[in-house]
Amino acid sequence: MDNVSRRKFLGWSGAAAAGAGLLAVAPRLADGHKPATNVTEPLVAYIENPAGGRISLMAGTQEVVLHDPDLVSRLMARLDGR
Amino acid sequence: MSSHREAPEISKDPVADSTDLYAFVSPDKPDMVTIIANYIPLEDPAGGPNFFQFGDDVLYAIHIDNDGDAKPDITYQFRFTTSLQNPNTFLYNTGPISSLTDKNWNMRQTYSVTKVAKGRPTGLASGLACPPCNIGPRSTPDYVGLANAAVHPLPSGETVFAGQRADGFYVDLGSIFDLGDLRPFQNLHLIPTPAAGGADSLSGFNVHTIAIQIPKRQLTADGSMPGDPMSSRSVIGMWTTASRQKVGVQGGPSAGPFTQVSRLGNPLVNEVIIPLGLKDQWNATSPDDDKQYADFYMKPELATLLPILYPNVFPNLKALSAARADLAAILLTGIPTGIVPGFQNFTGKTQADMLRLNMAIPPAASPNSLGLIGGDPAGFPNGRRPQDDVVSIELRAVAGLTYALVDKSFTPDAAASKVTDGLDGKDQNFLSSFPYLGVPFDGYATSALSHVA
Repeated sequence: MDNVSRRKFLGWSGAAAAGAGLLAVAPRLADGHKPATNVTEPLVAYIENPAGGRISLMAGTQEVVLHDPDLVSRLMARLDGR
Repeated sequence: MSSHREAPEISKDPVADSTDLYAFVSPDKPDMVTIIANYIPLEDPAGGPNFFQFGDDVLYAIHIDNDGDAKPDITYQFRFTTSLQNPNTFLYNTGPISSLTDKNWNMRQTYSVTKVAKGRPTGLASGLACPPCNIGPRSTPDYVGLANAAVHPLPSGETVFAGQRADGFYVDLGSIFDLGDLRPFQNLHLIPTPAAGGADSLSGFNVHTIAIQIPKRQLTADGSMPGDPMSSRSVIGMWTTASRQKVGVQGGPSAGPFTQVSRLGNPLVNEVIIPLGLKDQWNATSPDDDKQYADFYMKPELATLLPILYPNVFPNLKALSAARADLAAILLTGIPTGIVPGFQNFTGKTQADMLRLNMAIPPAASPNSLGLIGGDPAGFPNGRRPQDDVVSIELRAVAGLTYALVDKSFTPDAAASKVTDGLDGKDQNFLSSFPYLGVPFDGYATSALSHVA
């Protein structure tokens, strides 16, 4: 993954998953974990097409596009309550 | 309208909606070029208590191309910040506003200016004050003084102003959008009514203006002072854009790179030339990708409609089937040498919608609001001055008046040199110095005028 630790990202998203395809993630989470990067602004993950396996991570004016079908699948599973 | 509410998406986002772009050699400072980009269409001057302001979440930009590739060589970026002095009142102001730091002025905006040259950003200024909106004689008793205080000379040589102004664009929207009616000629319309004078639909409305005055030497590719009208180095192309971040969360943050949502170069292009299904896309496109729209310029729908709407008035236009090389030159490449004696504003073969200005053409001593077709090369389509009658100029061009410049065998219809919406802008309250657009209408007086029984 580019710039952002996948493990940390999964941790954030698991704590803050909300809404199909659009996940707003705070940089510091309730469990005290800090982001692995120096991101200090809210981070938004956008999945336009879950079947495509691509995630756009946006913070500030930056955007990183990931291709990670497994991660997308796990996020969608969280939305399904699994 | 020039570009007021011209596309479906941007019509729902007024603070990012560019309405007009002007660029001209400053008549009172001929070594400077003034560029004015207006936003927020149809501001009702009485629209309080939350009077109009720029979008804090919008990136406003003015782009300049000085080497003909339709890519920005210089960009000025403007970002706004709103501050509330007293959150415990519903009022915009709690007393007369006598200065830009008056404690009575509750909701204020400041802005920053960044210059991006060859991809490198340089902050020119921050914390620059906008003036308040023009509310009325009790709240803004010396509006001219407030606005003058908001003209900021920058150490880098530019002068800037950002704030409310009277909308200087004049057009009879009420008739034009009623099946292409032009009141002075409506007796000849397919659905005729007696001829009448034009009615300015924008009279009494304000806009928000970003104006910048720039030394000519800072605009040329080689830093020279443009002196030869026939030199390509004298010509620049300009356009304005508004951009929003890619993603917004309702009640939460915006994030991601800025994405262009509004664009404006030549007046009335997205309004009249580009079809509805492509208007939003056009707004998000860069000028260097405009070749894809060239057919709409060279086969404009309006040129087909005029002979239908005005039967027997435009027989030569009706018979004209060739691609409109004249419109392509005026709007997409600039006018090359050899078309108009002693004049050119050609930027090269790249087809791009830019407002082109030959900076070596001096300001006119007696400006003609018909610009180049009126024998005044200091006016549109050589840049655009506030007083230029771009509606009549473009109507006449589309009607075939300018096609004779590229095809000497074509005879324009007699009506092509007369067609107009019946307005000439002579009643506009333009200023003789920066920022040139008139003092905004105030809410108190304008309400009284518009509601007289």
